[in-house]
Amino acid sequence: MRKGKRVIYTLLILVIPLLISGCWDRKELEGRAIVTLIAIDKGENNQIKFSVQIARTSDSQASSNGGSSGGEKSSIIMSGTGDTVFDAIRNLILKAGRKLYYPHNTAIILGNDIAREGILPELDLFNRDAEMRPLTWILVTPGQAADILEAQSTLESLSAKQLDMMLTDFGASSKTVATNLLDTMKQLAYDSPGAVLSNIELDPSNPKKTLLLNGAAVFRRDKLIGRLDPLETRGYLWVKDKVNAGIITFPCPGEETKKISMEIKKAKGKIEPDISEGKFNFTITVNVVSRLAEQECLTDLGNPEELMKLKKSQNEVIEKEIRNIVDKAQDKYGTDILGFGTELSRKFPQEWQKIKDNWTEEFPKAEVNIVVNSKISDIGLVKKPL
Amino acid sequence: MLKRLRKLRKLKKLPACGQPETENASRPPSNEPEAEMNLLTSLLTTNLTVLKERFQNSVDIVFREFKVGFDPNKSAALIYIDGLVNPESINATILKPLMFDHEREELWKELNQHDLLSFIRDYAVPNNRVQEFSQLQDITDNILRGNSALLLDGFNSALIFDSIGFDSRVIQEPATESVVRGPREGFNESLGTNLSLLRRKIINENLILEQLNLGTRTRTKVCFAYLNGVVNEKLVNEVRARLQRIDVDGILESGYIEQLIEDAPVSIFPTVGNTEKPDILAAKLLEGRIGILVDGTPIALTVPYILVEALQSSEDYYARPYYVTIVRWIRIASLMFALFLPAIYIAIQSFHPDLIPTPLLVSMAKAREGIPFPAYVEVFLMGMIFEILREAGIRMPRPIGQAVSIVGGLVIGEAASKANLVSDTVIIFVALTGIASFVIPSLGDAIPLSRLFLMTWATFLGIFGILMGSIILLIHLVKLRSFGVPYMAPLAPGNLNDLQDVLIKAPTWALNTRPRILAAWNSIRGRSSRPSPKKK
Repeated sequence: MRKGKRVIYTLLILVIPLLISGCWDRKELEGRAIVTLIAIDKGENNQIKFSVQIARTSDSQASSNGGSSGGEKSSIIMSGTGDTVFDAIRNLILKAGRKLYYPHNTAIILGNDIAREGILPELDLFNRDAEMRPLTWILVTPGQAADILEAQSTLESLSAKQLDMMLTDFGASSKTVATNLLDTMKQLAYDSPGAVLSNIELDPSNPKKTLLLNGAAVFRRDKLIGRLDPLETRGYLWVKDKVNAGIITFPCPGEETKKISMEIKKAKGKIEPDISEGKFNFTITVNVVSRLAEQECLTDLGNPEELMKLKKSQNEVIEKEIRNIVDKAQDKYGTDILGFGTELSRKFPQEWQKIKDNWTEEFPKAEVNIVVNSKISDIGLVKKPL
Repeated sequence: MLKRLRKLRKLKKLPACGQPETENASRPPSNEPEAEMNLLTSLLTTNLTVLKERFQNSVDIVFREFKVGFDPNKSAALIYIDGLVNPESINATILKPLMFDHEREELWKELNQHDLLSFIRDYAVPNNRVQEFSQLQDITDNILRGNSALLLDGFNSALIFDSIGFDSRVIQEPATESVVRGPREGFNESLGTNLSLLRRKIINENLILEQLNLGTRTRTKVCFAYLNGVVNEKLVNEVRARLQRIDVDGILESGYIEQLIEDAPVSIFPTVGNTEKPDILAAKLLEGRIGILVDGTPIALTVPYILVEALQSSEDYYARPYYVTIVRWIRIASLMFALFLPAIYIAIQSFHPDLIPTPLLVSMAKAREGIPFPAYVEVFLMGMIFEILREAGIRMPRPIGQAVSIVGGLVIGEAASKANLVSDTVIIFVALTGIASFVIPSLGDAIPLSRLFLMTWATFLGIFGILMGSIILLIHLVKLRSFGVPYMAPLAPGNLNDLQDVLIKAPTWALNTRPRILAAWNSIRGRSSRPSPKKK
């Protein structure tokens, strides 16, 4: 009797997980098409044009652009149209035959037209579906997104892989942002006023189609309203405390035609809101540790006075970068992409409740102070230029 | 009452090994009806007729009849089996003194005794072992084992002389269990040699060897060895009882015994260990285990046997401990590879390609392209080919070996992937699995079967299925016992102290205890401390 019970319990333990564990899906690799990039554009008749880059796994498969240098192409591009994104995806299967497999998708690229109309409707599916990963990069392109899929990779065999590495290492220059699906949704959540996403283009300096991360795209709510150039993007990153590394250049003290490169080693930025007499003040404080990495002039900079000058110039450059983006946000776009409202709501919750509906009007009027503190940690292995 | 008596009889110590055939205790009960028929008579001719009848005129039985030299009226007969005896020894130590010895003749006349048999035993025959029997069964047994029996006219008992002299293989390094450092000698097929090898390892009167004859037809000598004062007394009684319970017609190898005494006969996991080397057997005895040696095979059994022993090797104890610890982990990793690799391949590639890094996935997909079978068919196919090659490698005559390895390694591997029958990835996985399973030879039958089991789960349920399969395997493993010892000890039930010889190999000076699970009551081996130069 006891043994019988034990057998029943064991069977239950083994069987119940089978029933509660969701879908069963066995599909051999050769039955799947590995999607590496997705592009969403506006198609004809207000439809969605959904394009995918698929890793090429067999010589007998038709090849397309987007391969590595040399004759061998490493990817295939297919596209389908539909009323919605999911409709387009399913229509694509009519052409593909194989099951398109999305977990290895690197990035979703949104075309200009789609972005101007609002990206939330297009991204809904990717949030909802279990097969998509929240770490997929979200990028915006000024032209047709499908063109980006055709881009040739230079160092990697797959352009998707190269794009992934470019975005992962964005911090080396801090001149662009890298936003994945999760970041994007965080930026757009809770009626936020706007977002900044990374911007991808085809490199105009290269006759072959190659990729270039160029600045960032600015969104009011979920609609594209403009773009930031690389230095404006860094201004944004200073404020958002996302600068980890990068190079700051400014003229050499004394020898204005020559330049100096400072390497950012550490940076910390924060926004402190304040209310005085019904007016909103924001103080942006940025603390930077950098090192003298390169100088073109022959001045001996390795003494305290000169270093003080360097510090001052560096402060000015950074302050200018920040001021640019603040002005642009307040005057040109009138959108709180810097997250001032969020900081305000955290520090002054009650006041925020009163002001929150009028924030779009109030934000451009806010006063912004910028404080930059620099520290130069070292000047490298040489004391003065030879 | 009867049960208790039987129990008492079981607990009775068995005769020591290496002794010639004595009383009935060690012999399977004979079914012959009349007791008188089993005794010798005083008439030599009758005795010879009876014995000839018993041996049914087998050609190799020699009945050497002669007259005793110093009492020429006495007829005598020496009975032995040609080929089992050493003829020189018979000529020199038995026949020559009996037929020619004139000194003894004087003594015999001087003493003027009537008991010729006692005289021969006490004065005449310089043989190393002499015994006197009157039971016919005892006499035949001794003759069959290579001793010779002397019958004298007028005496109803026989003298048995030691004259064993048959050929056995010389002591060699065993083909299995080879070592870089450590003794090279291995057991051979002669029980006597094997016992002597063991005796030479442990010079201690507490090394007890008990003997019994198993197999109603073969009457094979089986010996079990233990170290008194180290071994658990209950364990000895259990082994003795299980051995006495055996009732088969023949024991040709220790494998027969293994299957007749093991705890979990239907489990794929072995609960009886085996070794071919005296140093390993001695080490096991020192840990409190019992060894079972069988005449006619170089493989000795050790009980109890637990899973972690499969991960230990004798060399671990001879080499310095640091690299050995790494090797232990390599063995654990190999065990995992051998069990899980093909299953994980099937699961990942059919169910969870999202777990593979993209570049690897793309190259795996490239390898799979154009292969007509699903992944599990591929893996099963390659696995089967591997097993066929392995089996062929063992069975075929040595000179053909190279041909098979060329066909196996090059032709099948290379051609199968060129012909798009299997993907290169599968060949790598199957090869790695196969090599990994050679690292743990003692689980030779458990690993492939468990692997097959897990592969089946993976085929239907992916990684989830592997998990279920592993849980079932683990439940089975923790349930197993070998002679009362939990099979997964000291992992489950855990024993931190014993793990110093499992997860790591502690230096010899730190291994001062026996496995607690075997000898909790008496676990101190020694009290050596960490060696260091003498401090001033």
